[in-house]
Amino acid sequence: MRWQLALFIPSFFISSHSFAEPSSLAFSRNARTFETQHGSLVTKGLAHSCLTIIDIPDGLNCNPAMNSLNSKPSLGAELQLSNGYAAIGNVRKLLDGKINDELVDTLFSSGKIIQIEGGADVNFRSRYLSGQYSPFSVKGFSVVRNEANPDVELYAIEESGFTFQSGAELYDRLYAGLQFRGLKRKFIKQRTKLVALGTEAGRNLLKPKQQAVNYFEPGLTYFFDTSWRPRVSAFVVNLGFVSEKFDELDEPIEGQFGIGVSPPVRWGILDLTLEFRSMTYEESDIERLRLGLLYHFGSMYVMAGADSNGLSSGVYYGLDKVNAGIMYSTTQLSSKGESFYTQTVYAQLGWQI
Amino acid sequence: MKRVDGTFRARVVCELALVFVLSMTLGCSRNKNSANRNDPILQAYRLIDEQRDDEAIALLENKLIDEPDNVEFKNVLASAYAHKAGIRVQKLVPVLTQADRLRELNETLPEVGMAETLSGKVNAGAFNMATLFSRLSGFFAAYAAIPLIEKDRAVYLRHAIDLLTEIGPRMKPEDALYRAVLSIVLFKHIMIENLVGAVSNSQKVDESSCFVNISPVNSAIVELGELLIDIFNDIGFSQPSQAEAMRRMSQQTSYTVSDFTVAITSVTVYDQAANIYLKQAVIQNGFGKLLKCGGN
Repeated sequence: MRWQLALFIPSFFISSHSFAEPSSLAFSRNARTFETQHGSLVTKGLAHSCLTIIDIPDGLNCNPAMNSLNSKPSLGAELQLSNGYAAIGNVRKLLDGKINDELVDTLFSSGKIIQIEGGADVNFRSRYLSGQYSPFSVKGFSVVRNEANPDVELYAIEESGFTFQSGAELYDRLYAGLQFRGLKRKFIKQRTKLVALGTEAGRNLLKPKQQAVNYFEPGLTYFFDTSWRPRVSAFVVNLGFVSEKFDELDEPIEGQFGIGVSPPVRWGILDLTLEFRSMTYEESDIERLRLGLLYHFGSMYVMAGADSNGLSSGVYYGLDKVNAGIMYSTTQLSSKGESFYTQTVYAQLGWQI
Repeated sequence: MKRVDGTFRARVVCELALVFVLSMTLGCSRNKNSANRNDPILQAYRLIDEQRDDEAIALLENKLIDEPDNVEFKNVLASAYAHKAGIRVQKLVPVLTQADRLRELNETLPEVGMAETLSGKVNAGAFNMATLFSRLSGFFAAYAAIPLIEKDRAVYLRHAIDLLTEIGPRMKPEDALYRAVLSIVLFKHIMIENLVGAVSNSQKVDESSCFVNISPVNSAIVELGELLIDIFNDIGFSQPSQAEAMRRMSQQTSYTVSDFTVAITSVTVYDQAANIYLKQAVIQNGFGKLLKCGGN
């Protein structure tokens, strides 16, 4: 039964369910970068299936209910970059409204697809309160199709802000927590014909929009008292206020659910997770399922993840003062029948006390 | 908590997980990836980008049989034909943002008076045409990134423009601007192939009649004038603040082309009469051997 389950679930995840929306110009895109999702390297490696993970070594827990289970207090900083980072300057220029012909030509020249993510975080963690300050987090994506009358799909987003979380054991093995996220973001998200930029109506298409968000997000986790330590989690996200709503960057309130187990292994700790949560809020229900695996042995963390976007795997080392990790994701198997697929490498370097 | 209960619960959790995944799999069978792959617009985009224009055209023409009023299909089909004609718009982007150049066009041309002599009208009309074209060439220089199309490809470009015209009132400003771009390319093509070509051909003297035929010049001018009017209208539609200026330019173009073609036609008639008179005079007076036509 366990082997059947182990074989069945990955085969389901790498079936031909791709994340690309029917209206999207992209045949594939980064499997672990999404407009409004902020995640550490380990959570990306887990395909964001991390609600039931007790110890995220390189950032805040995905579920604030786990906060009181933090093993030791820490303070650190992390810098994360994906490949394609050379375009990060252009994306920031775009978001600063410094648009000139050269920039437009660079971003939208023939056949170019730009996909980048980069950011920095400062984290502190303790049993009672944990927090994160993100001075910047930049994500960018653009794709151009039809060179005779180019159709452009673009998003560029820069966020900065704070996240705090706290939690406690409410009842026997029932943990609850609350997360506050206060962010400011600038973004451009458009799909348009390139010639539209030459019309009066199209002049403002590349004008960045600004938004401030304040979310209060509660989470729960219940642990079953067995050797596998099974647990179920629920988390409500995007509950709060936004300064201004924009249709193109909608963040609806969403209930997320997860199941996790820690099968006993001879050495180290193994966590397996299965979750139902959205990254873009546009996926179908089935595309919201994601599977994660985290193996922790000493200072090494090995993670793997599968969802409808693709597969990912990586390794992270948390030494005494310095930590570093690398992660790879691909859409090759999820884009079955497609000659286009995206491979991304994320690297992260950090320091902690 | 008893151990046996815990093991039982763990098993229940695993089985629940399997049921959960199975129910999601069976309950939601929509496959977005195949939807993306089967989207005819995206298929056509891919074919165009892979230089498989004929396949893109065939695909969209088949789709248009089922949905003849689908504006998006017509639009992409027009771009497929334009691509076949050699159009690549991507390098045009920087230019498209420089709409200020349009203001340079907004100057009044001198009127051609009714009472002027025929030669005066021809001169004034020709001067206005030259002024108009030279001003436009300054504007069109902005579009220099567009390569000139090959002579035998113009038919695809014309068809692309016709397809966009068929969209009619449902046309968006960006479609109008795209049609203007295609029309400018066609304008440049006609200028080079038809107008300059027609004039240079007309310089070749017909050996049998010694007759200089300038009527192709006339028809090229008329076609260029019509194209210009369309271009101004399209630019005006895509740039509402320039609409009034474009309307004036369109009107001026109409008058100038009309004046010039009337004058040219008059000259042609006079020229025909003069040619006939000259030939008759030469034959009647026995100077045939002295008359040289085409250097022979």
